[in-house]
Amino acid sequence: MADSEQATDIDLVRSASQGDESAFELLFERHKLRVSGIAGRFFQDHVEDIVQESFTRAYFALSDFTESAGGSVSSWLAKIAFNTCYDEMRRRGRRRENILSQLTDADVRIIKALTADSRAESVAVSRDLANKLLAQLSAEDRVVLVLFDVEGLSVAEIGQVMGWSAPKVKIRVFRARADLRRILQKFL
Amino acid sequence: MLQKNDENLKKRLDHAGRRVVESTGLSDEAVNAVASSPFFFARIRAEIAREAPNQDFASWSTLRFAALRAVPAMALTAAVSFGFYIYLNGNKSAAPAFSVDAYLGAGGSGIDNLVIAERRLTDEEVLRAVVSRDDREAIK
Repeated sequence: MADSEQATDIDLVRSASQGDESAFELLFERHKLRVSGIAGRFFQDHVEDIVQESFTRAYFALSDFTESAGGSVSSWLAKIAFNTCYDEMRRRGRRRENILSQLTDADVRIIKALTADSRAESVAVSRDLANKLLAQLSAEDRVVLVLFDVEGLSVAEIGQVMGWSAPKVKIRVFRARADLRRILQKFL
Repeated sequence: MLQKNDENLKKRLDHAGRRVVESTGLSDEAVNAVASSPFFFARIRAEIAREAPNQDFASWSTLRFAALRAVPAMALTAAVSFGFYIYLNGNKSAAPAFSVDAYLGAGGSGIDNLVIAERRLTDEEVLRAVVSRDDREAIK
């Protein structure tokens, strides 16, 4: 185990794929925070289940990981986590209730302040409000906006993560932005 | 002016949208709490153990499913190819390629027809061919 702790992620993947459970546990320990962060980006409840599902998928895909594919173990696990979140969002479906009925007066005031000026940096958007607004978007739109705006991935990188072509990613980003604009415009 | 206002509005909404997207998710404390929940790896190990037989079954099922879908597709491809082959060959026998004999009339010795078909004739050659044909018909 002392040797394992100094082993690289790639060594651990190799050992784990040959049945070394402690190597997989060490991989889990190293990357659980990152995977939990990704799951927490999309879900507020049952986040542990998403993390568990992500690592379970990773375990069964250990043999698919190849160094030559050009990725680190961290980005490989992130890709699995994003796809798990995407699948779960699609499974749960989109909440299509009237957004106006879900928001408090304070929420509406914040959105109005936020959209009033493009330099409104001082306006704090609560997580709860952001989650309510983004729950109106489709799974594709949410995942593509998080990958683009929060993770800062390029079109090509998003394509690799989601298994989409570059034109599809561009169209998705364009549509997601348009959808979000339409939602925010209701408060102007 | 109107277009400029639209552009400004779009820019404002996009900026607001980006702020909203950045604000989603759990707080760092909440993420830490999830990651360090007790017996987390034990649960993952149990899930893996539960999934393992299904994974084996799933890979066989995938193969079986692929085979079941491939066989009709291959049969259809073969049928279409065979039909296409028949169509092409059928057309070949029904409408034979251009025939010099058929075009010029199959009668006579055929030599003059072939000469006419294969090279450009002078007026004199045409006259000679007509006369020789008339001679042959007179003999008959």
